[in-house]
Amino acid sequence: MQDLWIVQHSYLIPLLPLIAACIAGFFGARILKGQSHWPIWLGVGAIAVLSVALLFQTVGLLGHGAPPVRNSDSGTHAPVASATEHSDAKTVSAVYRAFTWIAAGDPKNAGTNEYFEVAAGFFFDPLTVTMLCVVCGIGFFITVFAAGYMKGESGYWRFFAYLGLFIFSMTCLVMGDNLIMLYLGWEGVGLCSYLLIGYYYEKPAAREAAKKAFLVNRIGDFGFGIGIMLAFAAFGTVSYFGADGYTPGAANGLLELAALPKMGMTEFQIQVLNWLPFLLMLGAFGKSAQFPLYVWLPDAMEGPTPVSALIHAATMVTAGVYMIARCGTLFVGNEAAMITVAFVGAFTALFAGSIALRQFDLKKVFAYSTVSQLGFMFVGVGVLAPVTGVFHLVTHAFFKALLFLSSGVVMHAMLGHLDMRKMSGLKAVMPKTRWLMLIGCLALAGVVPFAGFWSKDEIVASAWHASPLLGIVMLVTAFVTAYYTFRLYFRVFEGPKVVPDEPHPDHHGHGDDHGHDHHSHDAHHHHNHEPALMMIPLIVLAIGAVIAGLALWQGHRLGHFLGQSPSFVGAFELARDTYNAKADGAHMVNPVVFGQQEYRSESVVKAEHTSHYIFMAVSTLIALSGIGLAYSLHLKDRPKADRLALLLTGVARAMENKYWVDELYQAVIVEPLRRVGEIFFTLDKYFVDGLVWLAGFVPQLGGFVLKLTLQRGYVQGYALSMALGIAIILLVVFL
Amino acid sequence: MEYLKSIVPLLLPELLLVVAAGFLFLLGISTKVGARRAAPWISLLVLGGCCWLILGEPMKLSGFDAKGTFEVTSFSLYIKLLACGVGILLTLLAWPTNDDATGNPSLNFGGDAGEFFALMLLSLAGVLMVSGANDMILLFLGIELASIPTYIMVSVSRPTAVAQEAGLKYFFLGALAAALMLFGFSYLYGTTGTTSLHDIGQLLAGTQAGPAGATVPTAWQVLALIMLLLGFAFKLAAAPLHFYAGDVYQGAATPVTAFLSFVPKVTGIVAIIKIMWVYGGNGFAVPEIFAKLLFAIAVITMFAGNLLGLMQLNVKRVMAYSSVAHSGYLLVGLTALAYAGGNGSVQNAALQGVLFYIAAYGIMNVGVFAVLQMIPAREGRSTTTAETYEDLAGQGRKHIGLGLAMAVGCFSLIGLPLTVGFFGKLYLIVPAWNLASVEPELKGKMAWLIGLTMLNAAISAGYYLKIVGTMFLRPEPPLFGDSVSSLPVPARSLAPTVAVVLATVLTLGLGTLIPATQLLTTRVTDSLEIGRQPPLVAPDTASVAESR
Repeated sequence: MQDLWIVQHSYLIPLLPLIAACIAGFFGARILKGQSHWPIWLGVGAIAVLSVALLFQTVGLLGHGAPPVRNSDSGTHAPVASATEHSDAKTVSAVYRAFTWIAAGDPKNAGTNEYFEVAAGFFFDPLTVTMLCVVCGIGFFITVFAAGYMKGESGYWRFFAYLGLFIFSMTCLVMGDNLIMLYLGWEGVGLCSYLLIGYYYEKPAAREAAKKAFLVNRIGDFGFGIGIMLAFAAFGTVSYFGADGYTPGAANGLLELAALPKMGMTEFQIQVLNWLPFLLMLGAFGKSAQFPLYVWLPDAMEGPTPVSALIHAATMVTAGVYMIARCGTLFVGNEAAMITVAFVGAFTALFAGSIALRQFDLKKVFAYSTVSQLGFMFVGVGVLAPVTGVFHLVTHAFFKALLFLSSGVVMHAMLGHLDMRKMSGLKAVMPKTRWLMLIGCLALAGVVPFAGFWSKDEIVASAWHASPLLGIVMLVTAFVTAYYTFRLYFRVFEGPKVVPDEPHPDHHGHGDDHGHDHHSHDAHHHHNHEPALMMIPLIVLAIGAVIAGLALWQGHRLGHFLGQSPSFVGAFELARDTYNAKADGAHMVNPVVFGQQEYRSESVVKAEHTSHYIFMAVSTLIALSGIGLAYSLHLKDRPKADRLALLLTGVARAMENKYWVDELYQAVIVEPLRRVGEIFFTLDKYFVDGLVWLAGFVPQLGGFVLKLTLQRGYVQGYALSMALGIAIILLVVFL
Repeated sequence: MEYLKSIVPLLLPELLLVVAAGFLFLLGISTKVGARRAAPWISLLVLGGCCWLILGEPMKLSGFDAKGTFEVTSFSLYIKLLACGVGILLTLLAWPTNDDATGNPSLNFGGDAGEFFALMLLSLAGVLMVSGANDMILLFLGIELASIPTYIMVSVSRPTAVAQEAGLKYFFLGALAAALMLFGFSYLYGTTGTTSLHDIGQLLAGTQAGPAGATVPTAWQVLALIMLLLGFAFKLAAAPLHFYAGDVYQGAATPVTAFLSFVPKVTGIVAIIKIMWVYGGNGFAVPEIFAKLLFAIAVITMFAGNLLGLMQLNVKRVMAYSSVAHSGYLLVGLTALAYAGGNGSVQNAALQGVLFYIAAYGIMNVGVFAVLQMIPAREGRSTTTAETYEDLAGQGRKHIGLGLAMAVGCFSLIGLPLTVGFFGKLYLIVPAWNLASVEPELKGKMAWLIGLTMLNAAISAGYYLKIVGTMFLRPEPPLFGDSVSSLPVPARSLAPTVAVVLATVLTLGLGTLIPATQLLTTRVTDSLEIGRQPPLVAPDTASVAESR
């Protein structure tokens, strides 16, 4: 893999969107204006092509054994591509190091915590390539969509500059070959998320939401930061697999060192390994919106809809899942951590799913649905089945982006309205969007053969395998998901046609400069709001939402691919060593969900297949019954749904108010902090400021005295002062 | 002829500058606009040529250990390159931008464009000479060659009484300083019987009986030292000879002020380093009295500069005292160097720090003055470019680029991170810190030195931030009369814009690219390990005479 042209020139992948963002940012306001999307289209499009090419090339490398070892960097300087080839029969990986970014301490102490080195380096393996394709591929289609959606907005260029910056950060995040690069991208996407949520900054709700997202993420990132520091303190490196990349048998990088037998470790290292997963997890829970840090994501829907699709559904929020999959060896050895991940994920999935039941805003429903689906992914990685987590990540990216963008089209057409109580029967108004939305909903609900079904099913099966309780929670959540998805669909697209006639007060983009404005905004004459620029990306995503699941599931294609990642191999070996020794047979680590098919025994395969088909049948049934319930309550007999809500007033209100979690946080965390802040403010104002004033006053006084006595502008005075100074010095020295 | 043949290759940059200056004096006679327009171009070309010549010379030469009157060492090459490089920026500042090429809004040399640039080149030639001087006579001549043109430049820079007065004051007080220097040199000669700095160093090295191998000069030699140090302190604008700074800097036109705050300062610092080398017995193991003097001067200079800087209403005066304070910081580095005694690594670091800081100061300072020069003054005073805080109020928002450049320059002068000034201060302080950790008995002194430097950096933030704050936060005061609106807005002229951009880019670039900053000075001090390679030395006149 090291030989690939794209790997050797992988600096292009973050660089192109960054350059594009700079062009859009610096020249957008004055020169490019309405054409500001071009640099981003070109930049992101180019790297999307590169990522897909890399995907095919990597797939081509699988199972081809080791290409000849090559040594190219004898004495050459940056950019230094690491020399050795690491794709043995089992893994495919490569390292590209552009330059040493940070170096502190004496290089003699390399490998201990006396020497800190971070390379601006990229690590390539099937996991990276998968993530790159999701980020760049889906990212590209969303930028295309955004050009249509954001047309005529003020600050059009700003939007695209942020988008380019986001893609840059996200590629750094998934490609980095060490935790610091991961953190760089992590914070970069956090910043872009903040900027884009607050895109409509003149709207108070958007400002608040942006702040909330930023602050809640700080809590998680605080843990993440401490985790990185501890990891360095204990193991002396932050690189995943060392400077030369992954070498089977060698242990240079953090992920390899952490997987070594505990016997050889110091007490401190063992302690760190006990805590490290929890700290990293905090970061993952913050970024990926898991309980208790999920509260920012629903509010983040204040951002423009393409942003919700790209950042808050398809890519950024999955960074936590990526991190746990990537750092598998830091997690799987710690049983408590894995249980925590799985149960937090399961709880979040059900909790957020139940909130989605009683939301009326389209984007809010999908936001809670995203939180819930992210919970699924965490269950996947938590129950020692990282392949299923990443699988769901990929399929979810397709169908959730599709759903968000479709609701964006609805919002666009409905003059900013997203309240499903105010609209109905839109299939007559927007027939194409209706079909696209239906595909997305089927995928989300998990109906055969749409993408969501395959990945969700694998997670549910793995969860059941790990603990029946988890399996049941997942099945219930699947039911809830199917129900709320089709509640939305039936409400909005089916039934009698109802269209809101007044523009929403927060409605953006349909100002005087808007392209559609020469049409009349007659309530009963909504013209075609499905322009090709917005429809084409949707159709591509819809194709993905239909076929991605089966295509990747068939013959464990994705598992086989990801299984070649050193992270997955390492995690599998560690998990096998940790759990199989004490397993009672029932809880053996399943090699398949680590992508290590060659390790499974025939008997296991058989049992697995039978149970798998049963699960498929069960989950299909559950999805269909959820849809059926939604049909009966929200299409056939809508008043019945309201009567039901009346019957269960308490529950309905709790769900509608999101279980008052925001209010709870406000009372328990925000208010006490504000009180403390007020105390500090008072102290600062009177005590510290007083000291500062005094400190400022004394030099002023000194200067005043000097000025009056010595600096009066007469040349003879100056000469006298100088002579006086000389005399004083002579006196002091010689007396 | 032999002698000439041997010395000309060594003196090429100096000769080029002097010859060019001569040509420019001739050119100055012409009253043609074309001649005035050509002068800065010639000056730029010559300085560029000097840079090229200097870069062409081998940089792997040894340090001060030379026997001739004039030497080419990597130390001198560094200083030369710095002088010519910053000289280019200063030429850009003084570029004539008005229609008949008689100056720019802040500077007016009337028809004397040729002479003005000739004086600049001569002064820079003086700096080059000082950097290579290995003889007290040549050293003195070099210092005066660097200084005397500046007296004229101040006087002719503006057709106002303030400038004449400033030039005169500067000249009188400069003469006093020259007298001090000559006094010191004469005593040094009297006690040793030679004018060669190398020989004096050898003589003093014979007396190395003090603690840590320090030399033990006689009382007369100490007197000479004090006089020399004070004479050089005038060039540095260091206490107690800093009094002229405010008046002179304010009186001169802004480009000349920028010149004044850099060129004489370099000669002063280089001369002090040379004298340290002599008093350390051709090393830096100087007697403790030297270190104490530097300590005292450094601290008093920092306080005087920063406290007076706080009081000023005129931004050029503020920059004058800022320049005084920066001399103090440079002397802090030299103090660490003096205390380092025989400790090689600290010595190297301290010298590196000082050398780096001169370069850093030159760059950021030019940036600030260039911005000042490009902002028009209000209320039709005798100047037409910004001088007071009133002039600057609100200009940062109006000319956002200038505002940002000023912010970068001021942040760098304070020493905020990501700027070259931060690393400059860091490199000045780190040697003192290291010294405290290796030599426990110096801990107290070094702690004071570092503490007071930090305190001063904090005080200085008071006026630098006031400049930036005024530019961005204060609204532009309303106009009275029509005098201002009719003034040309100099913000459009190309040459100072280039200077601003270059200075800002360098301030940020050298500040963020740490390897570049280290590279800049390591080479120079690495070569101070004496005796690795023989230096290129002009033969002593005496030995030449003998061979004849």
